[in-house]
Amino acid sequence: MDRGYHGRVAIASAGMTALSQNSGRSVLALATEACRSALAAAGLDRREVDGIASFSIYNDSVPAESVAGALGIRDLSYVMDFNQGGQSPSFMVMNAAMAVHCGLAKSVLVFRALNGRSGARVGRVQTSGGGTELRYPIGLIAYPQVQALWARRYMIETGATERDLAAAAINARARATKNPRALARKPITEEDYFKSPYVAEPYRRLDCTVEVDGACAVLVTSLERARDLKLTPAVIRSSGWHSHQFDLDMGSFLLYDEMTKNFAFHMRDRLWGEAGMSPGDVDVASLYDCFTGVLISNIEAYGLSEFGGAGDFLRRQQTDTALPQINPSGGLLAEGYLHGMNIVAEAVWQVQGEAGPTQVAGCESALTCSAGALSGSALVLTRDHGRH
Amino acid sequence: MGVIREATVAGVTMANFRAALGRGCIAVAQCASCGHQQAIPSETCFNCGSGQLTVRDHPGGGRVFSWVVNHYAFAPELVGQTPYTVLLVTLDGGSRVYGRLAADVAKPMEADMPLALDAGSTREHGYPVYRPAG
Repeated sequence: MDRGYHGRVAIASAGMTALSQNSGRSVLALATEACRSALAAAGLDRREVDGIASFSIYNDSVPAESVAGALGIRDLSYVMDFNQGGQSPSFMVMNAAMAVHCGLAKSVLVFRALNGRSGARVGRVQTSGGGTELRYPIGLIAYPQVQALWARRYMIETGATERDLAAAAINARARATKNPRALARKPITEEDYFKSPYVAEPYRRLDCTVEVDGACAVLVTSLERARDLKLTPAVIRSSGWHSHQFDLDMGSFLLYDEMTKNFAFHMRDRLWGEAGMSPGDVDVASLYDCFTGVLISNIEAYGLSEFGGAGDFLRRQQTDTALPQINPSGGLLAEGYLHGMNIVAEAVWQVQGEAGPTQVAGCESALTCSAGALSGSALVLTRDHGRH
Repeated sequence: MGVIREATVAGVTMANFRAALGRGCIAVAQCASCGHQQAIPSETCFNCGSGQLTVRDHPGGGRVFSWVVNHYAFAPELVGQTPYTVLLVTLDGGSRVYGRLAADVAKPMEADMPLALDAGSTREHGYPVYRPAG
């Protein structure tokens, strides 16, 4: 199916603030800085921007329109504020691409900004609806706990062990040693991993993301326009959002049939088919990894490894550079939990050849994704070989 | 005109879910249209969308689908309770519920372990409390 915008819309640039655990700045200031950074990288004047999109969870950010205001942008023709958390980053880019392709806007900034450590911490607010009313009284409150249920079920059905979870943590830390933005840059061994205390068993502290304050933005525009800007465009070759079997909220798993196969398992044929690519074709996979088990789930759901084989795949790809390279920035596990927007940015930089010390040599294509349970989204990006 | 009228509208509300816990059992809705069973506060069937649900008290027996052993207190009221085990239980009949493993159970969890609802503790705490069956 030709969605129209695939191959015709691109990400022209990405920008990010420094990440910290106590920014001392407002979410508005962080968002504005990230957007200005993306515009400066592309060499696009703010007056050329006519669309802005963002996402949040439980009102932990600022309205996208207010960021446009702070940037001095007038006469917007497209806006989106989406309240669905980690499933959103790729979906927001996908929406922006549709808006550009339909003529609703010419250039759209997509951002995520939060004081995720010093301010409203993700997942610490009781939601409306029945899901939390069933979980909270039992003491099932935070995302490490609910996601640990998926990890345990995965271990039951596949025979995977904590060594496989360790492989994800070790890869993240090893990659992050090269990333000056990352908050967790100290490499770890398997022995270090097994000394890490349990938080929500089978998850240990080292299985969990690092919460951060910060912001990240990307600039979405037509491929034709992107070719006139400073950087090599990252072409949106394919994209998708999918919800497989939702019940009361995104942390409620009272119905989901197979907790070893997240939403992406049910979307991947369409995603790869529309890209005209296979999982092994991408050079980089910058995958959502709020917890080690979520990374493992995503590696398998997108078909990068066989079912039950993600741990082995993670160990092999660190030395076999012919395999897709997993999370060159260290991902959310080590760079920090900028709610998945930062791993989209890393995919963009990799494809553009702008990733600096984490650059994978010769990267032509990347998969990135958002979330890893009931529902989420993904992008396949390729390096443009047009005018630049 | 434009109003959906179902022959039977029952479903599980939070109120009757809690009331069933107070009787030491689980409120389970069965769909008259597709036969699906669910223990979710909803007036419609999550399998087929029908509103023809009949609610009954389920004794709570089932098998563990997954579990998490919590070593960290994510809320002040949980301090002093760690470590505690939260279960995702597949009830006999197919619906799922969350529950707690009774604090005095020393037996380690195993995949698909048969479980029985501890009716007394469930009534006392207001949430499902489980023990290994048998």
